[in-house]
Amino acid sequence: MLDGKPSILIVDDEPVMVGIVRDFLVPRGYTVFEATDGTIGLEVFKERHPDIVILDVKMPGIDGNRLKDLIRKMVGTVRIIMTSGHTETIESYITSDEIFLKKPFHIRELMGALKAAEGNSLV
Amino acid sequence: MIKLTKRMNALISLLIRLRYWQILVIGVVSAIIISEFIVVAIDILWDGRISGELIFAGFLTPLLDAFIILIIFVAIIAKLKESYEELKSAQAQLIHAGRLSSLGEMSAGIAHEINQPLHIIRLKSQSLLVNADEGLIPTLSKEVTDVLRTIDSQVERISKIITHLRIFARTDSLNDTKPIDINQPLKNVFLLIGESLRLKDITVRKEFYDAPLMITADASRLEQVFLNIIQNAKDAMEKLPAQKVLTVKSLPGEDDTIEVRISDNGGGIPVEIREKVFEPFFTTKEVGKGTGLGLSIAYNIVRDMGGNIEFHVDEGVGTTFILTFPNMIQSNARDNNHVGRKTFHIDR
Repeated sequence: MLDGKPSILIVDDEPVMVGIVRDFLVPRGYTVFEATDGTIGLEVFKERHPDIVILDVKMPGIDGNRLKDLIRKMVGTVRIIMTSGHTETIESYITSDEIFLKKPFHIRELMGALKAAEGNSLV
Repeated sequence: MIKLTKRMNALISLLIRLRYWQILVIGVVSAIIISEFIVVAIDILWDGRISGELIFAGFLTPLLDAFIILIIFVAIIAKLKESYEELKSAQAQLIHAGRLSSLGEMSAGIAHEINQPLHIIRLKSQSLLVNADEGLIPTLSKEVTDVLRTIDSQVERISKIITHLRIFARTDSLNDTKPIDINQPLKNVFLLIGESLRLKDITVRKEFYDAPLMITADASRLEQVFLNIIQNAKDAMEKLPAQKVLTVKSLPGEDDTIEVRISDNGGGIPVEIREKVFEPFFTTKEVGKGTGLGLSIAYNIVRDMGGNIEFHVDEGVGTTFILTFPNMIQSNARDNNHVGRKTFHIDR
């Protein structure tokens, strides 16, 4: 967190999605790292140590849930935002230890989730 | 052996299609032939000549035997016919269940695949709007803002339809019975086929009761019922040159029931097919267009819910399907053995 804004890693197997989130966050002063699968995501995480990770749950290879566990084992305090379009009943939620965004989410929901993650990471 | 089995099957399917009077005629004729044959055979075997006494004994006994055989024969055919009908109905249900489960699987896959690009479209337009709002990009003209908002809301609409289609198809095989307002599944049906009715120039009059009408039912199965009846109404009005009107009403019925009335102005179901409309596989549509299962499925679902489905033909004007359901309070107390009736009234 060099200049007050946290660094963010986005892992999603849909490159366009990664691009949109990046294009939205970079002008707002965030440092953004990208990965389009779990394996690359893990490598980027080890290398860059981002403050917040946005993870798609369903991905080929190492999926979001497994990547979350692997990352948590390395750095317990990292804030993780999970996203998925596969769940049918669960809505987006923000709790003290978990943030989940149901796809399709509004861009403002993403901002809200990031604010919550930032707030927690500063504690 | 296989040849013999094949022949037996052919014979049985032939017998099933026979009408009772045809069976009777065949029976009587064969009884006479058999008895005559026996008389002649006995005569020849006995002493090579024909006596009156022998004719009497030889004629009456085999005739009585033949008569008994005939009755057994008719009973067997009746039983066969009954089993055949049951089998036909079970087959219809199976085919439908199979189709639904593959439809469910397909919809879930398609919904996910389509939702992803839709989400991207939405996020793009939202990003532009939010960025302009926050001064990160030059202010957008009103026109551009309007376009972006329209894209956002229309894409949201598509998402909703797709999500609903998935829920509708997937949960159909499950039995998710709970208290619901009957207006909800009615509204959801129009989410699925409202556009196709509009494209066929059908005016839809929704006269939903303005308070919740609570019944205990599986919402997606009810939707299926309404959907099937409305599809039929739509097809009935297909060749209508004048204004096509579909009226859908929900209202409290008599004796603590809840009623849904679906009317079209397609001229009414022709007299000669009225008895058959709820039969599985009965269709007037051309091959490939209808399965003949829509109304039979609707009937079975309504019957399962302890409800009743009937139709009322206004000669030359149209058909009204009247669905009656026990309301929530009544359905809790209702006899489990209650079965639906299918009846129809005709106005002349």
